[in-house]
Amino acid sequence: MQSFLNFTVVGIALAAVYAIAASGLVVTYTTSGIFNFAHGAVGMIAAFLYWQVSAPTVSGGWGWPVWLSLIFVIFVAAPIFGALLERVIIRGLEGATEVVKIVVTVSLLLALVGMSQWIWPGNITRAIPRLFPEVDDRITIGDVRVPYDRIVILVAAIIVALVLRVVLYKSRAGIAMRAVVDDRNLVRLNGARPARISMLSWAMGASLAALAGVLNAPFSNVDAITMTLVVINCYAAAVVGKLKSLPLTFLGALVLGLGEAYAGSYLDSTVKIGGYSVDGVKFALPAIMLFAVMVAQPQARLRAGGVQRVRETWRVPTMRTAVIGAVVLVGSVWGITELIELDAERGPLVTGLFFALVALSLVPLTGYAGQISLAPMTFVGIGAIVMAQIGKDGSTPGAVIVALAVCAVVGALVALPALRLSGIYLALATAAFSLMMSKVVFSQPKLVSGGTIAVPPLDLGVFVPRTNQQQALLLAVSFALLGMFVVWMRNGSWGRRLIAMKDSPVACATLGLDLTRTKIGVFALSASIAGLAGALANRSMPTTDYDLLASMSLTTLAVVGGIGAIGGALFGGFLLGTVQGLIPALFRDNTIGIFRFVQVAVTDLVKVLPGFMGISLGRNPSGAVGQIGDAYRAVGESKEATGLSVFGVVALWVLAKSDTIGNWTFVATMIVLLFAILPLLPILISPLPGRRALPAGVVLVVGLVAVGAIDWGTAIESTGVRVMMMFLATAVISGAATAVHGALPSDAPVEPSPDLLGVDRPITKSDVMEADRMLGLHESDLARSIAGGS
Amino acid sequence: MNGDDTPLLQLEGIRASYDAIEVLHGVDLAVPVGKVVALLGPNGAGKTTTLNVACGIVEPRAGKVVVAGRDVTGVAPEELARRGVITIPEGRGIFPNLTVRENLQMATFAGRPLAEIEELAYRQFPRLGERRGQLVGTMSGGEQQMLAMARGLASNPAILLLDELSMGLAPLVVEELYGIVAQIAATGVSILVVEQFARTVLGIADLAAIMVHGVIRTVGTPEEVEDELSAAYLGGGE
Amino acid sequence: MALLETRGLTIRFGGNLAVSEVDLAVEAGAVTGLIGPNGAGKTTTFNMICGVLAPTSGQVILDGRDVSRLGTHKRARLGIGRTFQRIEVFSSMTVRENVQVGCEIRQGWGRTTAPGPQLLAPKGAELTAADEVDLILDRLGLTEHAEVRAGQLSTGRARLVELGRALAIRPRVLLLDEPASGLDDTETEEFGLLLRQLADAGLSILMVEHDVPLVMKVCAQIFVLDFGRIIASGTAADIQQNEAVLNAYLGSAK
Repeated sequence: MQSFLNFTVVGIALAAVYAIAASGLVVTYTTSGIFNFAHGAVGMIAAFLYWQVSAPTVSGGWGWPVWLSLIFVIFVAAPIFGALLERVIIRGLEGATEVVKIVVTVSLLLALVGMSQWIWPGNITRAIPRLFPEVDDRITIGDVRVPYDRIVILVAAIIVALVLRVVLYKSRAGIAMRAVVDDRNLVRLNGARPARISMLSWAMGASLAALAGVLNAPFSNVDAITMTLVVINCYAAAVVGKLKSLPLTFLGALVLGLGEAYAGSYLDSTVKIGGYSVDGVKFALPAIMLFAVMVAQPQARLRAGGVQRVRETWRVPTMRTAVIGAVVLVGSVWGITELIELDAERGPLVTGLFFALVALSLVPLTGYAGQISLAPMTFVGIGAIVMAQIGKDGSTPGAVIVALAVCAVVGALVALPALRLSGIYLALATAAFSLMMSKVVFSQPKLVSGGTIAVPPLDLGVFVPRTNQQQALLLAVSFALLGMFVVWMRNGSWGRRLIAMKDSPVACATLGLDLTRTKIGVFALSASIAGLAGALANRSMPTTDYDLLASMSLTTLAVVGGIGAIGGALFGGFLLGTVQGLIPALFRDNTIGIFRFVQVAVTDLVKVLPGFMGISLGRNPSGAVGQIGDAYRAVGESKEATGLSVFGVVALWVLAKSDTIGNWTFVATMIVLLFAILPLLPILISPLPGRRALPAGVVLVVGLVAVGAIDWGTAIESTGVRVMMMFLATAVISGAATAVHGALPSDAPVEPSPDLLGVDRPITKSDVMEADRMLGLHESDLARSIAGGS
Repeated sequence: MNGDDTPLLQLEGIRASYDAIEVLHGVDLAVPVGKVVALLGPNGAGKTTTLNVACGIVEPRAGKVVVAGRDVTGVAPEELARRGVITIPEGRGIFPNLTVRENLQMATFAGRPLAEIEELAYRQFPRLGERRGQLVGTMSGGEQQMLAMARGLASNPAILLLDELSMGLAPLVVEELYGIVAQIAATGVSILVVEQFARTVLGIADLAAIMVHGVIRTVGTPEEVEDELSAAYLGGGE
Repeated sequence: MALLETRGLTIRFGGNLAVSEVDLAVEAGAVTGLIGPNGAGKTTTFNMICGVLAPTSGQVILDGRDVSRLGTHKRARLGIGRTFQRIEVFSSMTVRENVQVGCEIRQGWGRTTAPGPQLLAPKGAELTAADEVDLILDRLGLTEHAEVRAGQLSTGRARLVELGRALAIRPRVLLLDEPASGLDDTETEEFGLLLRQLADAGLSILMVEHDVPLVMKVCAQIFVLDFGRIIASGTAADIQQNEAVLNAYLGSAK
């Protein structure tokens, strides 16, 4: 009995931390409509900052007194940070799709985790002392001893509840915050400034995250990931309150805190079921609760509010483009691997292709159907386990098929409860699933021995990938085939259905489409593709390769690449592969010493790069590949330009293969070709009147030859600087050619003048409509003015 | 103010569109000082969009919005509200999840202190005073519209923009509401009323403008426009 | 007997009784009008009929069967099609694809529900999906806009796309929410003819519309909704004579 009461005390204190964190989450979500996945990371940064200011100078801190540190972190630094976040990042998200909103705050989480590892590297232990370190600092009620600091936490939670109540119901700013939820425009018509109100609510949210982070820090490892995840647990509490109700959120926090305390104490960690330990279940409690709550929610109402216009735009890929793309991909991969002599140096290519294959799993799910998953790497892990278990002494092709099937079934089961609800719940459910799998399944020694999964190579009899080159080719062919399959599907009836569902779910339902079944289908497909990537991994995979953060990085970069297109998946995969593999390898010993004023270790920069790339998405929600595609589309449309570019690439490759030019020179000339010459080629071939196409062409050719004449392999010692110089040279050549040509490329969309319609291409019906619109003609006006005489 | 002939609100050549579709094709409209102007027309004519341009919610693609002689095109709605352009939007200008008192507290952003606003509001609408602690979402449509009116009235407007006050309300309530509009007008406040039910407002309007298909077709006194009403509403007629 | 009926349909939003005890009857093969001032609860009634909103009380009966407990997609499969007051086209797809998706979704319904014949086609005609799409586009005058993205259309045309899409599932009852708003006078006239023809072919149509002359012209039976209640019903002539309707609809004269 006494121990039960002691566990209860622990549970209530934990619940209080969850309640504080969750209430911050709810306040920001209700007022801005943005679910802040980085809430936990804000708490984590706050805890580190608290350590920084309060730790004694001998251990690297600044030695401020505790009271000052608390006030500084919770009431100064955190609110300013929250307000800045709102101003710089969140405000730009108005009108963005749910997927972009989710990815941007997930990226923020990644960036903050990366930054904390950079600023506070894990090479020293940072302990945050308890507020009342003495053993006697506690009160004893009967047999139960309650330490002071647990009481402090509880009191803090009560104060937070009271303050929130007063602020939200008594102060004008708080009333305005609630009013924003009802009707943002009406708030403006009342003369209040919603922008300021949002900043205030984000400041409050960050402050609450900081409070939770600092209060919890003494009881947790001071480690970026652990501390971020602790606050992530509060998602479950917030979901109990449907992300709206603060009292229910507090209740959810209480259930969660007590449940965790009891499970942690009473669950016998030695119990095994069929050789599998149940120890991990106690860590998975928040995830289990999240799922349970979602199952209990009623189906989300369909909304018939008129379709929203989104900022993303995609072209429908044709089968022809897909086949050409597939051939080019496999050919390029072969060509590149042929040039690299050391097999080990082909590693980054394999990594990039592997991530690209996983990113491809998000194209139908996120790109077409508009749903999101924060667990693609979890399915990779499942696929890898199946392959390792079945494939190690059996048939590997059979194991691949089983992996596909298992992932499809698991995917459908995970998605089922969340798909009835809106997009944010699917993101939460997949995140929870990822955490749960890491704690419960990927921690089983029987499945993941020594913390790694040894995935055997796929044995097709005639072909077994033993070298990186063979593995790269296997992945490239898999990506090419699956890519063609996805394009084929997009052009078929099921693909159209997915797009229709993304455009207007309510219209689909009134046409007789079973939304839930369609969504489950696409989720299962997506999970299978990810599982396939895991089954084909052909290496030892440590658990960090398929945990939540790995999934978050992948989803972020896939969306950054441009998830509505196959090319975007490839690009996103290579971004992640490059960031994780190539850049650290190239720049191993480099710091980016910008004139030696600022020294940033490249390996540190890499930690925050995916996050910042994701955050940039708020400005360009179509992802990178759309813009890249626009730049090169003209090349594909002109036969001459296509021919010249294929010739150029092949010629350079032959030169390199025959050792006429060094490999580094090949890289340099390819960069010039791809980034300076190709985008300009179409306008040079069909010149605009009054422009100097020929001299510009000469500049490009001279530039290419000049770059090719340099023996890059020996000219610059550091590989990192070498690559940067190549891009610099390319930029110079491109700039010079453009200046000579006389046409400044502008990326700002220029509204075409109606006078120019039909000059550059045949007039279409939509052009006429557009012209009507621009000239302000309305068909009915015209009709009336003609008929109006009578 | 430079003379009687400067209108309090003037729209000049307003074009506005939602995404690619233009809904206002050059609207000119003036609300003289102290007058009630009724903007009439069938559904989908662009009346609400015109009002939204006037209050700053919709930014026009072309044209000017002039308030008291000053060009305010592109000025944010909250800034206009603080300068006395008070709007009661379509479909109840209230916050359903706030109480009556909290709704009135939102009106304080436009400048007046809460005590004065409450006093004015409860004097005009005693029923609101009895329910100051009630969640507005649980009140009847008429009471909600009274609250919206009370807010508009108490915010010390220079010009009041009213959109479809009558929507979904019983005729008796509508009559009561427009009675109050007439009272407000009598105190010298300029008013622009958007209304689908023409007959309801013609009685209190000094001027009426008929809008069809995104342009103003006629402006005149209520008597002058009466004949054109049926044609505008019921189509054809030309 | 009426093909579609509502019995005592009532919905409450917070304290507001948005729709109260509404009884509608839509006869087979006829156009029925549902009119009333803005905010009277017409769209809300539609949403309850097709299952987008769950009524507080009351039933929706289709061909003698209570469908009140079925989900939206199941009601669609039983033959309730609709268009929307606020445009819900698939904006990133072309006009043709919008209609095509309708056909394809219908073909994917499975064996449990067999849709009726395509009412725009001559009786007994065998249609491939592509033919059917072409036919619908042609009959709605959308052929020349077939390759335009639906998101770029004018309101009137987008409404026609929604109508075409709804016809692609071969409904028995069609709910049209302000289908003629955004159409010009000539288009409205053609639209009226089309409605008549669809009704003659056996389709039941329930239409919310503000274009009163159109309603008077094509509707055999008209229900007038005001303040969430049915205040009158009858033929066009009955409605035009009804004082309560005039007051509700045009506002009370002072």
